[in-house]
Amino acid sequence: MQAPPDENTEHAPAGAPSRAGAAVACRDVSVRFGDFRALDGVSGTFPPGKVHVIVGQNGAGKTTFARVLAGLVEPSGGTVRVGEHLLTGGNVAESRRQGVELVHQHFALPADFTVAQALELFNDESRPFGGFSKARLHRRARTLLERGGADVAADAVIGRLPIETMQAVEIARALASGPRVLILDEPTAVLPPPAMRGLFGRLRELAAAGLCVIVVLHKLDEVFAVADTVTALRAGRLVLEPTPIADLSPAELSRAIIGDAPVKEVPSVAEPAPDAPAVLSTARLTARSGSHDAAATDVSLEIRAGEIVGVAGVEGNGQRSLVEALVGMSPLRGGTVSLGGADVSNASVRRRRDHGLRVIPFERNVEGVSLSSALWENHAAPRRAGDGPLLNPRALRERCREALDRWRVAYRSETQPAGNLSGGNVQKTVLAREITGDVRLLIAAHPTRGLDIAAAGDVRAALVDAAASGAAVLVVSADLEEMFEVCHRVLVMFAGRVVAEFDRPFDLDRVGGAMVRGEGA
Amino acid sequence: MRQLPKLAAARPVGVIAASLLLVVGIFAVSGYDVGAIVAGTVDGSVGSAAAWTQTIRWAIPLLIIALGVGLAFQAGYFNIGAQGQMYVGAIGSLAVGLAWRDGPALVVVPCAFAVGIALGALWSLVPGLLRTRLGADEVVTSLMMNFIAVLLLEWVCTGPLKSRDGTGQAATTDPLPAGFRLSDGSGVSPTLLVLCALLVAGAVILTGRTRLGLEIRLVGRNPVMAQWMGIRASRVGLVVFALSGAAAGLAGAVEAYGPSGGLRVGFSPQVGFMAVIVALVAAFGPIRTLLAAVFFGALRAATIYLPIVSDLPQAGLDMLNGTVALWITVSAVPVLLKRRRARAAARAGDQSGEPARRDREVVSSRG
Repeated sequence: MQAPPDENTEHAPAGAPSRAGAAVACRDVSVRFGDFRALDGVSGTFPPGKVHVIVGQNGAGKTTFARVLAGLVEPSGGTVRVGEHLLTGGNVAESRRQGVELVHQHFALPADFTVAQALELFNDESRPFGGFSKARLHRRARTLLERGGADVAADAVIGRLPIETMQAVEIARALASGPRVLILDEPTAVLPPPAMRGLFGRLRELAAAGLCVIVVLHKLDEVFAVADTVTALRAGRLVLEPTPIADLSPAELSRAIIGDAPVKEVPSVAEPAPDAPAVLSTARLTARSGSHDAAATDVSLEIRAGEIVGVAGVEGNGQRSLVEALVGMSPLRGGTVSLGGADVSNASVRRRRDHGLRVIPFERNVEGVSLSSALWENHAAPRRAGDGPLLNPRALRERCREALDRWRVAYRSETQPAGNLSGGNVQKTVLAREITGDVRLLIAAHPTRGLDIAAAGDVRAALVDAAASGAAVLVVSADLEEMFEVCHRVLVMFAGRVVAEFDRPFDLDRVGGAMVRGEGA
Repeated sequence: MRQLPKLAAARPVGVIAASLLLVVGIFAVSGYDVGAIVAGTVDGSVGSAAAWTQTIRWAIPLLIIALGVGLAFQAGYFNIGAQGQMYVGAIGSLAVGLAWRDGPALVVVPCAFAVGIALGALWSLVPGLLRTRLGADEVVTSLMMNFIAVLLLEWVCTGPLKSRDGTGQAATTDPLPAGFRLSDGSGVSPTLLVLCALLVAGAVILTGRTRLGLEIRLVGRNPVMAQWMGIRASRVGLVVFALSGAAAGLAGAVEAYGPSGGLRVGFSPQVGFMAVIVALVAAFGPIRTLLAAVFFGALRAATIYLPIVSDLPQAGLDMLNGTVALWITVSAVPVLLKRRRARAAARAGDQSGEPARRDREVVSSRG
C-alpha cells in the first residue's frame, strides 16, 4: 500500500476514522547529547501496513529514535519524512499533525483521572469553555475506546486499572486523532505474558488496517512473534537495515544486536546443600494491602541458603505487599519474619539490611535510585557494616566506580546524576549496589525488566552466583521463562495467598494455570 | 542537566545584578540622584571601617540562620520560621543571664547559649513533628509559629523581664551584665568571628563528610528511595528541623549577648526572612552562604546608613531586598515545589503501591 500524497494534513477530527497509513523514511538521522552520539547516521524506510520492530541493547538509541519520529527530540542531522512531508524535527505538534503518535514506555496518563477525562485531556478539539457535559465526554470516550479496542469502562480511574488495560487506554488515546504512524516504545516491558499476546494481535490488526506500526522491543521471542520487518541498532548506529523477518534466524538477529560481545552464559543452577540453613522464613505472614495490590495473607515460606525461589503471579496478587513486608517498608498485620535466625518481624529496613538483606525494588526510578542524585551518592545510600557517622567521599566514589565498572555500567563520571543514564544502566547501578559479597537474602523484583539480552543474562548469572555463594534469593518476576531458568522452586500467588508451589522441571501450562485460576494443579 | 552546576553558580550573581539594575532604574525614574545613592550605598556598607563593622554585624546572624535554613531546604523542608526560632532563642538565653547575674561568665554564658539553642530547636520541632507525623505543611506552621514568638517577645519585654530602670523605653529588657557580653554594641568581636568560622567549618564537614549530610541530600531528592535503602526519612527530617531551629536560636543568643546586650520588642526585624533569601541565593553551599550573608549584611548596613546621607527613604533599599527575594523566589521556588510535589506523589504512591507512579523525570532528563 502506498501512502497517499496529502499536503493538507490538518487535524483529523476526533472520532473520524483512521486515515490511511504513511511511510516513514529516515536518512542519516543523528542525535547528539553533548559529546555523546545517541544516534549516528541512521537511515531506513518503513512502509505502511506493516509492523516494524526496532531492536537493540540498552542505550543503543531505540528510544531516542522513536522520540525523533515523534518530534520529542530534535535530530542534529539528517531528515525524516512522513509520507511526502518533510519534518522540521523537534516539533511534537508537527509530528502529530502528520499523524505520528507515540505510546510511551512510561505511561503519560494522569493516574487520578477517569478514562474519559484522560482521553479528553489529549483531545485537540476540546474547547475549554465550550459545550461540555459528562454524558458527551463519556460518549466520546466510549467511541474512542471501542475503536481503540480497549475493553474498559469510561468512568474507571486510570490509576486503578491493571497495567495492560492502562496500556490499552494509552493506545486508544494515541489512535484518537486517526494517526498514520503509531510508535510504541517498549510496550512489553510492563506486561504480563498473557497480555502480550493480546497486544501483539492488536498491533497486527492495526497494521492490517493500513497503519505504519513501529515498535521498540528488546526480546528476541517478542520480535519474532510480532514483526514484519526488523531493524537493529547498536551504540547509535544502524547495524541491520529494515529486513523482512522471514529472512532472519534468531541467531543472526542476536548477532546483529549484540555484535561480537560474548553473552554471559547463565551458570547451571546447583542444588542447595540438603542441610543448608533457612535464611528467610515467614510464618503466617499477613501484610498491609496497597490499593492496587492484594494484601499478602497467611504466607509461610522458607528459603534456604543457596536456594532461589520465584514468586509468580499476575500483577496485583500480593507480590508487592509481600516484598514490602519482607523488606520492612510496611508493618506486618500478623505473623512473623525471621532473617538468618533472628526475628525481624518488627525491625526497621536498616536493621534488616544489617542482617544481610539486599533489595532490587520494583520501581527502579522511584524506589531503586534517586535520579537527581549523583551515582556515588546513590551507591552509598544504604549503610554498610563498619560505616560510622563520618564518611570519606573519595573512598565512596572509588567504591562506586569499582562496582559500576564491574557491572559494565556505561557512565561518564560517578558524579553525574543517575537520571542521565539509560534505563538499563540505571538498573545495573542498582544491581551493582545490592549484589555484593555480604548479601544473605536478596529480594529481586523484576530484576531484568527493561534490560537487553546481554544485561539480562548478566543479571540472571549474578542471581545464580549469589545463590552459589550462599545467599538465599527471592525473585519476583513477570517473566516465567526467566524464573524457570534460575529458580529451584516457584510459588504462585493469587489474591494475596500462595496457592501453589512447583519444583523443577517446571511446566509452563501448570504454572500459568495456577496464576490465572488461583489453584494448584 | 549537565550544565546545571555552572548555572547554579551563575544564577544568583545574575539575579542580584538584575535586581540592582531594576532598583536603580526605579530610583532614577523617581527623580533621585542615582549617583549619590550608589555612592551612599557603597559608603554605608564597605566604604569605611565603621561601615565594614556594620556589614559584618548583620552578616553574622544572617550567616548563622542561613546555614540552618539551607540544611532544611536540602532535606526538602521549607522551614521559614527562623525569625520566631531566633526570638525564643534570644529570650531563653537572656532569661538565664538575667536570672543568674552573679554567676561566673564562663559558666553562665555557655548555659545561656545552650538554653537558647535548645529552645530554638524545640520551637522548630513543632512544625517538624506536625510535618513528619501528620503531614501538615511546614510552610504554614513554621510561619504561624513566628507570630507566637513575636508576641512572646512582646510579653517578655513588657512583663517578666521588663527593664526596671525606667529609661522611658518601656519595651526593653534589663541589660545583661557587661561581663557576659560577647561583643560591644558594634556586634563584631573576635569571639563572634571565631564562632562563625567554626559554624561554617562545621557545615562544610556536615554536608560533605558525614553520613547525615548524605542522608539529608538523599531524603531531599527522593525520600521513597531513601526509605527502601534503610534511611529513616522522617527521622532525618526531624534532625534538620532541630538543627535549623538550633541555628536560629543560636543567632538569637548571639544578638542578646552581642550587639544588643538585652532585648527589645521586634529586634532585628526581617533577619529571619532575609536569611531564607541568603540560603536560597547560596543554594545551600556553606562557603556560598558566607558570601551571600556578607552581601546581604552589606545591604542591610547600607539600608540603615542611606537615609542619613541622602533623602532616600529607607524603603528604597528594602525594595532592593524585596526585588532580589522576588527573583530568587521566582527561580528557586518552582524547583522546590516540584520536589515537594514529587515527594507527595511518591508518598501517595507508596501507600497505594500502584504501578502508575513511574517517575516521569527520567523521560524528561534523558532527552
